[in-house]
Amino acid sequence: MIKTSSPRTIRLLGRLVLYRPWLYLLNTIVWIGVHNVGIVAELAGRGFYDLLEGKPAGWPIHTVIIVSLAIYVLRVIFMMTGSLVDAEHRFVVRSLLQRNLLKLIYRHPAAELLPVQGSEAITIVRSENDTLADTISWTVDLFAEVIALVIALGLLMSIDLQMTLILYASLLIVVGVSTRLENVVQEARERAQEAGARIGEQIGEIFGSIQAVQIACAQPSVLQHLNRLYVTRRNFVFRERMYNLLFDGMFYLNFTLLTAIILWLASTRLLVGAMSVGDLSLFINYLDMLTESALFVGVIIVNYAKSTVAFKRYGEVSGTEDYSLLVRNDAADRDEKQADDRSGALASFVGTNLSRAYPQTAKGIAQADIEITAGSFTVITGIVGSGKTTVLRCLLGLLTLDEGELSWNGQVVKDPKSFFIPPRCAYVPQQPILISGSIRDNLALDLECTDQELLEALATVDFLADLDTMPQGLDTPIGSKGMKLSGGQMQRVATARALLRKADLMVFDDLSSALDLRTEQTIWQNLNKREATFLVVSHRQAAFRRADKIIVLSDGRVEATGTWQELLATSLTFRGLWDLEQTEQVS
Amino acid sequence: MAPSLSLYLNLFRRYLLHDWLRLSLLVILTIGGLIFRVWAPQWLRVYVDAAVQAEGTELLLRATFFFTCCSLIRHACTIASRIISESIGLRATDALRSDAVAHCLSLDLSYHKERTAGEMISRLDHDLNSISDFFSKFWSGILVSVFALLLALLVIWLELACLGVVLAISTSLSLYGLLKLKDFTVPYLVSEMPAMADHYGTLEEQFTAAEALQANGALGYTRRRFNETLAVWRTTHRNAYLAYNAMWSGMQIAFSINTVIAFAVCYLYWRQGAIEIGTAFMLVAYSEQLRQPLSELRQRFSDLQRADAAMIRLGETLATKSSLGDEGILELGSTAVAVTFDRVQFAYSDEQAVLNELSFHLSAGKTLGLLGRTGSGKSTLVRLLMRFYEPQSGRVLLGETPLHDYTLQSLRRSIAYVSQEVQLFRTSLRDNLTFFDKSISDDDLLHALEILGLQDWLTELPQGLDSVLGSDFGLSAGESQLVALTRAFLKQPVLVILDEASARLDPITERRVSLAMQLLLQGRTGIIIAHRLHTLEGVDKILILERGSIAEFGDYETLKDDPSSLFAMLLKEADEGLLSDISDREVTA
Repeated sequence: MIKTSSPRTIRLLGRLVLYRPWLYLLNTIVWIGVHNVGIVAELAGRGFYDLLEGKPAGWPIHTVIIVSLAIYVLRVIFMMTGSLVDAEHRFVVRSLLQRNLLKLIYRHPAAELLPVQGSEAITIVRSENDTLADTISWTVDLFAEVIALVIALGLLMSIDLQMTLILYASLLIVVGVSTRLENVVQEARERAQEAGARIGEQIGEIFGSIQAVQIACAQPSVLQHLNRLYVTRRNFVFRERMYNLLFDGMFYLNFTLLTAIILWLASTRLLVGAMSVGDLSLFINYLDMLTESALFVGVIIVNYAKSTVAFKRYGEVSGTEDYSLLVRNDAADRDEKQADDRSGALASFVGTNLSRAYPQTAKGIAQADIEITAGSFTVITGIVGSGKTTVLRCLLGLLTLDEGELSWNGQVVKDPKSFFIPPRCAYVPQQPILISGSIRDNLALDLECTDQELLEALATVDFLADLDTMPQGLDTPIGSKGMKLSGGQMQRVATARALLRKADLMVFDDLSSALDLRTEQTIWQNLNKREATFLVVSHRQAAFRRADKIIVLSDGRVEATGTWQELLATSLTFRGLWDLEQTEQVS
Repeated sequence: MAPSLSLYLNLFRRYLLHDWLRLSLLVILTIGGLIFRVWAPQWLRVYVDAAVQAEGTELLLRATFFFTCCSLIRHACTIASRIISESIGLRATDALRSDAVAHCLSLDLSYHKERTAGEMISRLDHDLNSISDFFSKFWSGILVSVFALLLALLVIWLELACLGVVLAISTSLSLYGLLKLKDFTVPYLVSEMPAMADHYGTLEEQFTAAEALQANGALGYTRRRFNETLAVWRTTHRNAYLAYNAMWSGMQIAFSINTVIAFAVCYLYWRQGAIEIGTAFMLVAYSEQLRQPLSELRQRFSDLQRADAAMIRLGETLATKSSLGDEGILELGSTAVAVTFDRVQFAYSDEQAVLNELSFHLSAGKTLGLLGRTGSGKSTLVRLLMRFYEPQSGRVLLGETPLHDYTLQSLRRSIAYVSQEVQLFRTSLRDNLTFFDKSISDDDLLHALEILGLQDWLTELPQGLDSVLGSDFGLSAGESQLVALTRAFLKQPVLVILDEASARLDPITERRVSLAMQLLLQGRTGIIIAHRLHTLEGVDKILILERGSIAEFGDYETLKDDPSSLFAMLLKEADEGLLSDISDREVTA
């Protein structure tokens, strides 16, 4: 796990509390009611025994009954209101956290791997979201329980000071020991959650690649692998549960021993008449109630530490250490200004000295200079692993640069990430990424467009014949991640999606890999009719011949630049790439 | 809506009963705990009566001592029995999880296509957490609580028959009400889980698709989808939360009624002089002993509500049968086999036919080049061959035998399939190559990598075969394809299918790999799908598909040399297409 700076939990939680202050206040008031009506109920018990013992403090029997019933009805009313308000408030917290997270992830350069991704990230979000919602919700209970403890303290002290002090001292011990146990419980729980997240991730990957698993007949070995992970998690979960039982055991022990002490101390007082049976019942019943309150306070304290971890893990998922961004009020967004808003339509786009190394491998790109002029067609080529995709990603701000500068029409782009989006630029990654939903959803996303426009874009990528085979047309659902489509279809839908954006600069990362020659040629011809600037990764001659400029990459550096005729004369690598296709065409 | 009792009984029999040793220990500890539980209040009566009648401290202290002992023993029993039930429950849940995963792994693609990975995680892991409580706490919880209730009522009845009867009636009514309430609330709880799964499924997709969505400026879309799924979840969550707390409230009413009844009845008998204050004290304590089991029952029923919801979904999952039967008994041998399609007709569910009365024969040991535009049915043909789907009519044969006469296992084991989409796991390179199969030795792996000329690449990796994909090193698209090819070399196939296997490779790398592919195809029947015609050089047969029918089928050499053939025209077009491209470009430029 990556070491990160520690979040300032109190401040962060405070901001979550203050996000919707009135709702929080209402929640607090209602739950004070829920936790405090029980105190009055026990007074009715004392009144009853005092009545039976013939003490003047005894309540008439009908008062005992009416008060008892009324208290419970009141409690139900508080409880139902409380759950409504609490559900609402938890969701307010939940959705703020998730919204901010999503915002952060979309602000992060997308091709830059986050420490955790995919299913594992989701597993973390799921559980930590609950942790934080619990923490916020429980601060409300904390107020309520503390008030209950104080009221009970007053009542009991009026009966017997010594016994009350002993009782509260034992409560302090309970809270003390239970928070001491915090670290062990915390650790066990974290390990269990990590193991759980790993399992989630593996299940996600396995079922995401179910076809490959089935072809490989790997079901038994995959299952064995999961079973091993299950055992690991089970051991951690078991350990965690054992600590919880230790907690409970402590609670029982404390309760039993204190009851014994109370009975022992009360015996002399009862005999001399300093205490009534009703007082004794009040002590015993409060002991039960207050120990639970104290334990709950302990749980809340423990949970507070959990929320520190929760913020940390949230930070990992979102790739930030500025934790305040996680709890930021939506309103703050409106003040945010687009830094690079001034530039107009593309005239020139230049990347100078672009360098980017991958820390783990020797790969990356170094000192690449790329220049693109409006209306031109630029091809980037090179052998596998020469850095073609990396260059594209750096140019689009999908990767952060170690060094280098991007400028658009002569002006330096400060935040490429939010700059290279439509209408300036549209991008088709090498592996097309589609989402579940219909073809229409995938094409339009949030763009307002008519069916006519959609069909036009699909015509450009030669998809209309495919569309004819789908009875639901544009509304055909394409399954999870577009799995219902063939590889070529996915590639073309992704391309159409980019085309719809009518961007100045169209960037295609190896469009051809999933398409047959004829389809590809049709697409190129259709694209020719469009007025745009193209930047493509390819090693097809079709692309080379069309290019105004070809950039040959080798080991992450620009090896040569020129037209195909020039490069054939000057670049060995290029000749290698060219010749091969030459022989295939001749045959 | 509610899952049948038999499903629960089945689970109990299948996953718990074999652990009978621990189960019986659990029963003994539980009974011990219950006995000491009802014994303790007897000492309270002694204590209170002695105090009121001023009988001296000795009796009071003795009562205190015995009361404390009873409590301690009772709690010790409780803790011990919970340790045992946790351990039983966790094991049983994992066994169930494992079975559910095994089941889903065997389901065919038509099931998986409909489901996001996030949904599978919900179904196979998160859902089962609630069933875990069922295993660890439900059976013991329900049984213990019912016994505890009966025992407490019995003791009350022996002491004061009238109170016993009234409390028995009120407790039964409470239980009945709670069960009714449970049926009422289950639908609300069920509705939350799919809404939550949907929300997180969408969120995961948005995480994964960030590169494409972001670069196409789709932040607004993302936000809208997020808000939509969240809104649905919010409503279902609120309803579920209210439903859950309605149970709690019902419980509170039940408690209060029991205590009030105890007060009232004791008061009446006390006024008649029939009982002392100590007895009243004890009886109220007993009436309060009804609380914990009632509360436990409520808790268990609420768990059951959750388990019910998860159960319904688990039932759904387990009830889904693969549409492919696996009744075959034959095994494929190790020699190349012929491939025959005999009037095969196929359509994905409600769509138009993808393959139309398709018939062709490929002799053993020959290679077939399969051509066709995207969507012409090439991939479908391959999927039928691997039996991911069953044709609606017609037969697919390997050798003389229809596919479904072979076991699925033997069939898939005998076919090596390398496609353009490579699926990788975020785990070690070794596990990625072997799919976690520990029986494949490193030597085999190294041998396969060597054939593909990847030994240099391997030595460059930080941890060799143990390098973890994604964290130690990343793979380019081309490199992933090399991994997929290595996987194929680890098999001993009789049929090799290369579906655009080299599409993502640049020509130089491709040349290196094509030698390896030749090696793989040697002595085996092969089907090669390619867009680039040169990849098909050296194949024996060519088949061109058009909208699910054969447009052309014949010998490679014959077709190539016949200028009127479609194939020859394609070859020609490939050359001319390039030329026309250039002229287009020159005109516009």
